[in-house]
Amino acid sequence: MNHLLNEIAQRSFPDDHDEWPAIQARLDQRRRQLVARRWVLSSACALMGFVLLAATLVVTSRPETVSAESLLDRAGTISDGAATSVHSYHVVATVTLGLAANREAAPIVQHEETWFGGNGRVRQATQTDAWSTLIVSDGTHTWWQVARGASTYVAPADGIRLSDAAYLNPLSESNANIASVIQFLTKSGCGQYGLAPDQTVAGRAAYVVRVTHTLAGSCSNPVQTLAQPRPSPVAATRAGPSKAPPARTDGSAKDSARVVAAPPPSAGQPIIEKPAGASVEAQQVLNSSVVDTFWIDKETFVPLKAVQSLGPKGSSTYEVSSVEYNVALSDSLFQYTPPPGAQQLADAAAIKQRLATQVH
Amino acid sequence: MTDTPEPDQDAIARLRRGDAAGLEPLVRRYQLQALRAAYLVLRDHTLAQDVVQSAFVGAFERIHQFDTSRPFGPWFLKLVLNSALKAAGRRGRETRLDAWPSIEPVEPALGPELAWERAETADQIWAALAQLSPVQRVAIVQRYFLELTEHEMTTALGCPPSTIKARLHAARHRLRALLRPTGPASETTP
Repeated sequence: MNHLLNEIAQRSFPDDHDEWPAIQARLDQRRRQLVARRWVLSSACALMGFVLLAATLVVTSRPETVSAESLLDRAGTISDGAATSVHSYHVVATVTLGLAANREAAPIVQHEETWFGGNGRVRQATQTDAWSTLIVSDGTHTWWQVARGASTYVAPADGIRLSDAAYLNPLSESNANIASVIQFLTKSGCGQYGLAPDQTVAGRAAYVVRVTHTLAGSCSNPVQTLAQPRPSPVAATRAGPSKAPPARTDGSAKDSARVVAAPPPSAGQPIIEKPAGASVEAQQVLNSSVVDTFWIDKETFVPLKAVQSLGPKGSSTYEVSSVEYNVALSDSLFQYTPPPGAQQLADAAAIKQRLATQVH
Repeated sequence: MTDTPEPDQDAIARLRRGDAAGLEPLVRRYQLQALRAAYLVLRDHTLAQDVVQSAFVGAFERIHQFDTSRPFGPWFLKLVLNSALKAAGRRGRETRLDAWPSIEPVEPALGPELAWERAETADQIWAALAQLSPVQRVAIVQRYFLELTEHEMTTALGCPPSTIKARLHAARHRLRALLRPTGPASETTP
């Protein structure tokens, strides 16, 4: 059996048969296939990488999607001295208040210069023809100084933010503090926000945000008075910094004095105070729509300009004339030394009280 | 001065380093045995060559799976026979008997048992093998061509010994029946 099987096998494949050339050819073919497969794989990987890279470039090159509401929120946070991607900046601005009740008089102009040094270090000086204020914070302690006529008052104001400053100052004819205005709008939750085409302010590209809202400032409770008894500003100050903005007043000294006696309105309170026994017409004014426009730095979100409508009472314009980012600021800017002759009072409420007394 | 053939282990070491030329001494040494075994199973010259060529290329590509402490030959022939079985299965049908020389009956005077041992021509065996299944042919090839023991067959095919025994028994029985002499002498008288 064995020899017959061998005979059959030998007949088919004689002893001199050589399969090596065919196997070599197969090895070469296999090698070529492997090379081709590697090339195809490499090409596929390269193509995939290219597609991913292109997709990434397309996605990242698109401008960041922004909403008007979030822009205003960021602007409010930054203008209140919070940390930003900009570690320091210096901004000079002017607030112009045009009151409809006094069309013949020149508008009230308030000059404002602010330095943000990071880590809570802020210095803001405001000045009008009638008074000037200075807020200095070294990140731990804050001082508030008000000068009017020959009198200068100084008091510690720890925990008070820039957005609180407007309500601290009863001499201000209107809500001239950009931080407080934005705080009010973003917290009132009643505005309609929209974006207009970008513009340039103070040499900076700016988003343009329009907010339509009522002077009452709240949808749920549009007409509120501030006449009800409330905790004193002193209590509010001691309880911690208030993020709420001041009430807008109609500019009269009488109304300003009345605002002093009330705490800053929280969200939901009107931006124009309703006098006791307000008429139906007054309520209509409070419920009427006005449009405020804000120009916000596209790179840093710092507010560069704002035009506020006060309805029938007039308008207020805040505009930055110069802004510098990431500048070296001297430490001395954020250290406070009372000027000679200044009257040092216990706290910010005492200054307010003193100013109110002077007004009356 | 004569060239000393390169030992299997040296050739395998070259293959493991990715040197395909290391395959040549192994081809020279095992190609005939592999081709003939595949041919006896497949009964197709071209198909046997294809199976053996693929087995050598596969051995090169899977050389890292080979246990270098064991001999190369049995491992490789196992690859060849397994590939041959698969190829036979793929082929779908066996080569028909009439494609091959017809069986020439052995001497009528011989009994059926002797006929198996006394088959005189390769053609008779060849024709009888055609009647076996591929699995039975593999068993005959392993036992009578490669001269493996039943234990080695068990190891090579990875089957239990009982399976190997059963296959061999069935293959032998079938061959005896096919090689049984025909004619008056073999006929029984009532």
